[in-house]
Amino acid sequence: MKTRITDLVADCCPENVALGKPDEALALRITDRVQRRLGMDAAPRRRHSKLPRAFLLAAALVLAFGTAAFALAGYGMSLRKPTAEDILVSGFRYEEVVDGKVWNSEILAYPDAGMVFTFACPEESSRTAEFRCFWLPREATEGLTDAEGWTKRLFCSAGDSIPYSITTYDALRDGFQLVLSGEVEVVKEERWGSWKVLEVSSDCSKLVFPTYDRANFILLFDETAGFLVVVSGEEALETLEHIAREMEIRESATAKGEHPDAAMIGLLDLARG
Amino acid sequence: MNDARLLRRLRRGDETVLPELIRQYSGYVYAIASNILSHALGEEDIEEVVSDSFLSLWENRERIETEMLKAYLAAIARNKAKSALRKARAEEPLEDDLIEISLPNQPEQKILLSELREITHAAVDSLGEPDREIFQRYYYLYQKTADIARALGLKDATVRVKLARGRRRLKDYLEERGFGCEDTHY
Repeated sequence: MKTRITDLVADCCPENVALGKPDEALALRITDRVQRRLGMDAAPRRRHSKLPRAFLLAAALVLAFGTAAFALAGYGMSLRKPTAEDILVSGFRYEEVVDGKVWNSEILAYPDAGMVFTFACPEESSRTAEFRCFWLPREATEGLTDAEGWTKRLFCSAGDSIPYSITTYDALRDGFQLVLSGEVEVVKEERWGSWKVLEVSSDCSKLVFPTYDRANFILLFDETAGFLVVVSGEEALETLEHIAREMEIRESATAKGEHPDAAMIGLLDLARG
Repeated sequence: MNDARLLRRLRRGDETVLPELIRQYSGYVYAIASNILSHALGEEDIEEVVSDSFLSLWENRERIETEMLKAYLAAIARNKAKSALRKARAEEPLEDDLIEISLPNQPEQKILLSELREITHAAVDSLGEPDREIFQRYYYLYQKTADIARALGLKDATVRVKLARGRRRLKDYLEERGFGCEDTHY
């Protein structure tokens, strides 16, 4: 019988052979063809291309839980550059016993503070948020999701860098402050429906203990429900905004627990969100 | 993103993995399809084969048993491209590809092909480097000898000599196992 060597080597794929070049235009064309043929034209990232998901989500939340109650609550997020008069110390107090002697560490100061975000939460709610992502620049390395992708935290590390970190904040209460260290620049301030969106970039190179040169943050704050979700990372703000716009946020089934301490101030960093 | 993560997301039907898979592997799949088809078909047809390959990967995601995503995609791309070649009634791209094997008996052809592939696998595995890679690049990835030579820093003539050596090894393996093997290339 006549046969072909090319047929006989069907199980002989070479490993680690680089072939072909990355071609973004080709990838886009192929993606478009495949998605169209699979009927994925309504793929999550395209489904609501004219409206950010967060906006749709906010609308859904308001409809589900009653407009009046949320609208009257008047949650807010403001920001300011810290002044010399600002007393930016943690209310958190802990004790450490060393050689039988009790050391109080009641003051955790933030000498590198570049921006302070303050939250107004007139009606403390027990509700908490969760989110799911329909686009990520790379897969998360930490953070469990349920079968549908809902979670409260996703974290991605790559070697020493943190490309992105996404976190919900469930401990907000009236007057709570988040401190961002470094030289902070507000890049964009927008409103996506009921969501106030702040994009800030922090030059961290002059910190006392710099762990990265620059960190970017997008704070998404729902002024009708008091939810705060922070998308942050060393990725460019454009990339983080892409993540944010492709997120869906909703109220989770988990109620907010008791505050473990009296902390009224916290640090905004990549590891936390 | 590594293949294990891509495969995990693919298997659970995460639609968002498709653009990432395509971004990562479309260049590779395109190169294989192009190696097989460019002498007979145009760009549009080649891209159609690339699309078909990813479509097949998605539609068969629950049946993927291997963890070697790249090799799996390469196999799909080869099959799709060869099928497109047959549909177009075009000739295979490699001239020194055909061999005549005389059978030791008359078993069912499907079983026979499977056995022949096992023998070929063993023969290819027995080649030292760079002979093995050259043989795989040429017969599996359909790379031209000039491209292989460039990729490995060898002369084109050296690549051809090593390919001939690989074919000789394959013939020996087949004959040792009772198959007659005739080809003008040996």
